[in-house]
Amino acid sequence: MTMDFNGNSRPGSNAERILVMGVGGGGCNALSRMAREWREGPTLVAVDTDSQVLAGAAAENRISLGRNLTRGLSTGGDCAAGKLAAEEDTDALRELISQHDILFMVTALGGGTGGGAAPVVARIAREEGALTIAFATLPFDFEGERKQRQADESLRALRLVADVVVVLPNSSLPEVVGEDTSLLDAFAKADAMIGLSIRSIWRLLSQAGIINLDFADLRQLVESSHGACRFGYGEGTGPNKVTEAMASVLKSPTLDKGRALSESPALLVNLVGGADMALLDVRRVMSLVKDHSAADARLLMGATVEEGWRDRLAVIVLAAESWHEPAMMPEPAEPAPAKATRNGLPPKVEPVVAPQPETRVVQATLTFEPVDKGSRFRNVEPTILDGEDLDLPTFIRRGIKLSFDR
Amino acid sequence: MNNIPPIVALEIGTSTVRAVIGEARDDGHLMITGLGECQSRGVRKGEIVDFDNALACVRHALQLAEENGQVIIHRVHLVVSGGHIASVINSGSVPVLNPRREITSEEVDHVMTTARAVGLPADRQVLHTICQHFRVDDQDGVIHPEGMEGSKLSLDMLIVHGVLSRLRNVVKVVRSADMDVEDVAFGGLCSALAVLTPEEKEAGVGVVDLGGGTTDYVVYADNAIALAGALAVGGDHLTNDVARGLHISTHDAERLKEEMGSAVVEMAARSQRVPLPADAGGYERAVRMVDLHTILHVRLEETLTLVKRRIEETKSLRSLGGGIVLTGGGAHMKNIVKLAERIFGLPCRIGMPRGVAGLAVVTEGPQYAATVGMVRYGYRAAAQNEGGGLAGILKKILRR
Repeated sequence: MTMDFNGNSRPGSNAERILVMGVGGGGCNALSRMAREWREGPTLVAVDTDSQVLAGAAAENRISLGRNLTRGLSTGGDCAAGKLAAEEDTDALRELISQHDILFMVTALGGGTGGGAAPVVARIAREEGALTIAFATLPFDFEGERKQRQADESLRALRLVADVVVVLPNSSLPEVVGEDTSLLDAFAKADAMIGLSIRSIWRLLSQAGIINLDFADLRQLVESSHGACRFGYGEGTGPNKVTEAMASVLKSPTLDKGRALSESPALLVNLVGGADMALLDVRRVMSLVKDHSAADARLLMGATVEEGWRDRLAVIVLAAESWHEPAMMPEPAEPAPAKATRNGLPPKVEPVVAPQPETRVVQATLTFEPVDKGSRFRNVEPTILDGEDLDLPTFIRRGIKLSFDR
Repeated sequence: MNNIPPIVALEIGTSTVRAVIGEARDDGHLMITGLGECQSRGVRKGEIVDFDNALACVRHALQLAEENGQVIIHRVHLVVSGGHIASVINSGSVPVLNPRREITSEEVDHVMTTARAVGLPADRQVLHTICQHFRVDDQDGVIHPEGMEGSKLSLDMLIVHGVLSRLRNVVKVVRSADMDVEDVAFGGLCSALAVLTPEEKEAGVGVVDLGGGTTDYVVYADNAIALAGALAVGGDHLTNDVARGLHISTHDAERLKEEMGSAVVEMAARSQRVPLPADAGGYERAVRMVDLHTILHVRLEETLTLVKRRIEETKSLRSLGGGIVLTGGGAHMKNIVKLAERIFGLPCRIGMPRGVAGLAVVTEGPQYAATVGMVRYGYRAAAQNEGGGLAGILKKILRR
């Protein structure tokens, strides 16, 4: 393996702690676009088996996978080879990821490296305690049955280990970018969309936006979303920019034409605009989002400014799927389940393994001795408020996972 | 004022038993002349659960205060708290019967008696009755009704009450240490007396005392106390959460919380690990800072949100121009102001005891707010009357 870090690091800054990784050919293309367009931002790294792709990548860092296995060539669409190649270079990946808090992974599923290596990368990130948000594109219908199936398998593997997978089916691209757009332009636009989303979240987290997001907020959204997020994007210009942007968000195929909004229990809405973004614009977007989302949905919002934008607004929506209502989570009666799962990887995404009946989660009723509260409150009158036993740690009642327990 | 002897404020807290001796100077400042404190045992959520242990701690703390202040203590002013303490607004009105329809001191006394007469469940005892505003016919917000004309005089009275048996338990511990209890006051009110400026009271302000066993809150709106109460969740819960979440001892959890804790998850601490000392026969391991912060963050966020909700019920949250003042030992938590500002949407600050001279440690520690406030409360009560009305309310609690 080779590592080619040209050390463009800014130690100590918040921006440092976010890593954007393009995995496989498709991912590296998207990454190169970001690298060319961004003058500042998180660390970018291109990861692929194909040395030619890497050589062409504009990213500051590159990791070439499985040089013994593929000798710098592509995997030829073989997922198993992509997986082996990534496993061969686990150490290099781990070293890089361990220095970061959040990993944004961009990958095209269906290919060999993207589909095979992405789950390996996500697993390493999980072991290193970094929050992983993967943007994964799925192949076009016309790319064939085999590629589709392979993409589905990779997606399943990825969902098991990544904190959140944002799925972007290529087949929805024409609806997003317009039917008559050329294929090349369509890909370019999709890449730009992903890039802007990542960068705006990076800005929110590094407190460089106007309305920022706390890491804990994101962590809560992400970790309680059961591994899947819907993604919506809309842009508008001129006096009607809010209406335009929201109209395209609401008809995004990735949001089920807006239906996903009303079903999502937690939404992150991020506005990207010029320095001229008005308070009124923010308010209008949020009120439109509110109108289209469930009454009790948890709304997180942020706003960032893109240099050089004027009279232009982009709205990015991340909508959590199958949100696990965190208020109550009765633990199983068996003692110490945490220890048993400490080694190895517990299956994270229940819906895939064993879907839990919805009613049990939502309608958890209070039993008076559900969990050991810890010795301090064993013989004291419990603090019960609105049916919740406040003596139980809040993180347990909200179902927040700690990296320790993973 | 000088004929009033020094006041000894005693707080049997969940984490600390604390006695503060203070005198009022002529300029109105309090002079703290003695301090005794020791780690508390036998108290949970502000209530006595182990009488003997609590008694030993009280004896120890008072003894330390006596040594420190070079005095012999005979009687104390007792600070109380607990999740059972709550407040309710009781209104009373009386007709103005004299022919000139002018309100006299007679009507004022009468309406105060009426407004104080609140119907509480049998196990409950009134701790404080605090006048809010008078109303003359339909005119709201009257401060001095005497001399005004009208046909009806009304008064809103805030009644702070608690469960009698629990209040008596605390008094009993003190009595068993051969001390007299001179007065009893709710910790939240005491803290407010210690940390608020007159300007804040006028603008409307909330005080949140983050204690070891309880979170006490008091709200001033329109220059009157509009809400007082306590939530039986405190620093003890934080420690317990950390111990459970990280699978470490309570002792280690307490240390981690104090030394490395934060009310919000710090980006910089994201990948940091904190080594834990190896216990006998155990193995050394490390915990993730982000886990520690997450556990603390969600608990504090929940607690403050619950307080906010109670303030919202009084419809006064929006009008709190003075914002929120955080005090109590929990105010030491890193980033607590940041979190509170986000939750309340109001400016927040840490409240230290004001107008206090003497021991520097007291003037610089929010954990002393309640006891210092009690000293001030004691002086005010003593200056107002020589054991008149107030003691009457407390008769039941102080009954032997």
